[in-house]
Parts: sequence; structure tokens; C-alpha cells
Amino acid sequence: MKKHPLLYSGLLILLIWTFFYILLSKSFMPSPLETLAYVFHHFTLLMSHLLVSFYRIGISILITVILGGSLGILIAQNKKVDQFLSPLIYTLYPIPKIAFLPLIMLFFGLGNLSKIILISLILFFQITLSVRDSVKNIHPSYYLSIKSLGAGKRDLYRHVILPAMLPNLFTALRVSVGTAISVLFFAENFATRFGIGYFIMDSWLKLDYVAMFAGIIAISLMGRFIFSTIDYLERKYCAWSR
Amino acid sequence: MNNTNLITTENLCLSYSSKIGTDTGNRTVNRTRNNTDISSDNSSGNSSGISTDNKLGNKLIINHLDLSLEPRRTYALLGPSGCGKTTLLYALANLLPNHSELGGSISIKEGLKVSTVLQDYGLFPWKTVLENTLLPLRIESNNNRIKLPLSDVEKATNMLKNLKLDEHMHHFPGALSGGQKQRVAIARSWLMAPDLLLLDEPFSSLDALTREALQNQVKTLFYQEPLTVFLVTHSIEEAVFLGQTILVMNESGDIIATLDNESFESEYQREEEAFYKQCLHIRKILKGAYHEKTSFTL
Repeated sequence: MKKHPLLYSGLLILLIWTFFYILLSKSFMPSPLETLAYVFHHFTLLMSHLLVSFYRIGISILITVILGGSLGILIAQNKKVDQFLSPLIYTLYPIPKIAFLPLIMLFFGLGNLSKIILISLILFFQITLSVRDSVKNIHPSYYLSIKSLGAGKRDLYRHVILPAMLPNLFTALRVSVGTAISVLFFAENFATRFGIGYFIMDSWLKLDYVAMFAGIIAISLMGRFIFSTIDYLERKYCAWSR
Repeated sequence: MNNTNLITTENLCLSYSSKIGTDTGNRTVNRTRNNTDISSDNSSGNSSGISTDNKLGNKLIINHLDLSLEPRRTYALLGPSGCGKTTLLYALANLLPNHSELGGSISIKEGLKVSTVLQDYGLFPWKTVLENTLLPLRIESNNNRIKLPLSDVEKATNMLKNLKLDEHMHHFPGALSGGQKQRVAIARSWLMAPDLLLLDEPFSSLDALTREALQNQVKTLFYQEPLTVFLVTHSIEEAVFLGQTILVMNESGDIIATLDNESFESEYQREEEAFYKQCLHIRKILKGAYHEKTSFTL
């Protein structure tokens, strides 16, 4: 069980699913076997929708890690920037970003760009704030130590600030990616014919519940893949913090 | 001025501004290393200038200090805690915070390479022992992306072996004991082959047995690869064991005695009478200074 967590969690979900399938015996609750068969038969179709969604999420993660990370470092190092930007961030952070979707679509069109911007907005605040806090929390003795070794500005970033903030960055990613996937599902219901969110919604409207559940399986596996990648990177680059 | 000296200070005065973060002084504190002669704009620290500083609410740490460090010699600066020992060491290491003000003059030999072992070891928890040791070489080589030459890695490995750290080479500092961390810090500094090694109360947080073992190792290293060592400590025994020259500082940051320590040279120093006589002598000096200041007996 411990060796194959994916298999074990999958079996458990199938078991619960089967239980409700038998209990309810309604058309909107398809049988697990039928659904799995659908996944195998329409693998390329599901995969093509999944890749579009993955592209949207992946680009957003990349953009926010770079932009949010840099802004977080900047805020942490500069008191004036902190005093100016932190209240702004606190005001904007709690606003549900989905509320901006009409506005975003107006400005950035109906294509991929507006979806990427929406997801980026969600990831951005959490990543910026957690990077800001982790850089602020770096003990002054590390700055003294690196300075005593004759380090310049570049060495300071490479050997102190980046490695010190990485564990918090990964934690923030794990927390925010979950929200981002849910919002992507919502955003993919507008003005697109690709993406796993569209596929699920479209199947629902066609009353094709087997396809809908196959789509749900697919989106969950995509999330699983992203989380595993984050975990892998954390194990590789933050071995010291475990 | 004697040119062979690594560092010479004349009338060195040092104060911390009470307004932290606002550098009100008429000199910039961020000196660049390798400068030949750094003289402050303060007219060589005359006492009237200092008293105005005090009126402005600045805290005076060191007052009129004359010091010169000769090459390949060990110095031990002994004094009670809070007397300004560490501040003086930071001044020599160019690590003073931005709100400090320097008066008088420090002249540093051109191209002087200084390495500092800080009180809390200064190891980075995200780097393995070997990577921590290699860090100064990496910074020095200035091309971080290119792999370090194998000879450097070999040198580091040998140094770690020498200090019995080879089995921990690929561990993170978090898994090490205090004494082991301290040895890594010393290995790292020694590997830089600095002209001047500054040690800030290096063994104060270690137990007595580990401390003695480490003191022995430092002395052995000194005989193997001699360099100038400037050690700050509040332990009389440590100063006598490791300092060829012992500087005694009182609570107000004045150096009240400079002693040539002849007992340093002997092989079984700790077991000899000269060692204890020297300790006793310094104890009396410190007691006298304390006596003068507080006017009641210990």
C-alpha cells in the first residue's frame, strides 16, 4: 500500500464510487467499469483536452513564479516598496478573481491569454506573499556570513535568498495550484472548445455522464501529476528542509 | 607606519548611531576591500569630536584604539562580554552595520584577504558540508556555473579529512553537532588561505572537552599552514592557549594590557606551570580593571 500510493488511492475511490453506484442506481451515476472503459477507448481525445488545460496551467505557474517571486523578493528587501505595495496586495488578494473574468476577456480577448491571466492572478498573490515572508524571515546572520566570504550581490541571491525561499515557494504552489485548477475548469466554460473543463461541461450538457466522469478522472489525474512534480522538485532542491 | 603589518589602527573610535538605518556620519561605511589606506574624514578622532557624537546620542563602543597585526602571528583579544570585542572584529572584517561610525584611521595592507569565522558558525543549512566548505572558492572563482576544478574539491576533501569530517561530507549542517559545525566553519575559512583569519568567540558554545580538542586542532592547523589569526574570546585559558599576543580589553572597550605570551610555544602547554602563571597574571589584570571601575572587591 505504502509503495503504490497512486494505486491505493485509486482503488479506494473506485470502491466508494461503486458503493454509491449500486446504492443510487441512477443514470447520472455511471458505473466505474464503464467509465474506465471510456477512458481507454477515448484516450487521445481526453489527452488532447488535457494537454490544452495543462498548457494553460503550466504557463501560468511559470509566469507567476518568475513575476510573483521577483516581486516578493523586491518587497522584502525594500521597506518603501513594502509600505506602498503590501496594503495594495492585501486589498486585492481577497477579491474572487473569477469576478474579473468578464473584464479580462474584454481586454485580452476570448483566447488562451485571458485564461492564463486569470489563473496567474490567482497564483500570483499567494506566491508573492509567501516569497515576501520567507525572504523577510531569513536570519541576518546568513547575510553577515555570505558577506564575510566576500560575496557580491549575485552570490547573495544564488547562495542565500533563492535556496532559503524555495521551501515556502513550493508550499505556496501546492496550496494555490488546487484553487487554480478549479478556476480553470470554470474559465474553460467560456469561449473555448478545448480544455478538460470544456469537455466535462460539454458532456454534461449532452447528458453523456460516462464521458463527464471520464473527464473528471482526467482532471484529477492532471492535478495529481502537477502535485507529484512539485513534490519531486522539492525533494530534489530542498532536501535540507525535510 | 610599518609596511609589513597587515592592519594598523591609530586612534580608532567606533560608535553606533542611535538612529538605526540613517547614516548620519560624514563617511560611508561600506568600504571596499583591498583599499590601501582608508582614513576617515573625522580629524583622526580627536576627543572633542567624539564627545559631540555622544551628545547626539551615539553609543561609543571603542575609544582610541591603537592596534597593529603582524603577519603569521596569533592574537587573542580577551575581555568581558559586551565590551566591544566583536565590534572590533567586525570592523577588521569589514562587516560593520550601516549605522556605525568610524573615527581615527585603519590602514589595511593592499590586497589583504580576510576570512571570518562567526560566532554562530555561519553555515548555510541548504548546502551540504562539502558545498559549504567549497562556497568561498566558488565565490572567488566568480564563474558559478562552471564546475570547480577538481584540485579545489580535493583540497576541500583533504581539509575535511584532516578535521575528521569526511564521513559527514554529504550531510547537511542540521545533522551535525555544534563542535562538528564549528570544525566545518574553520575548515571553510582555512581553505580560503586568507592572510588574516578572524575568529569570533569560536568555541564559546561548546562543551569543555570538545572545546579543548578544537583548540588543539586550530593550533595544529596554525603550525601546518601558518597565517595571522585574530581571536576574540572571553575565556582566559583560551586566550593563553591560542594567542601569541594577548590583548586585554576592559569593560569600556580600552585595551589595558598587551602581553607577549611565551607559553604558547611549548608542546604540552596545558600541563605546564607557565600556562597557569600566565592565566593568573591576566586574571589579576582583569580584576584590577574591574576593581578600579566598580570600587568593591570581587
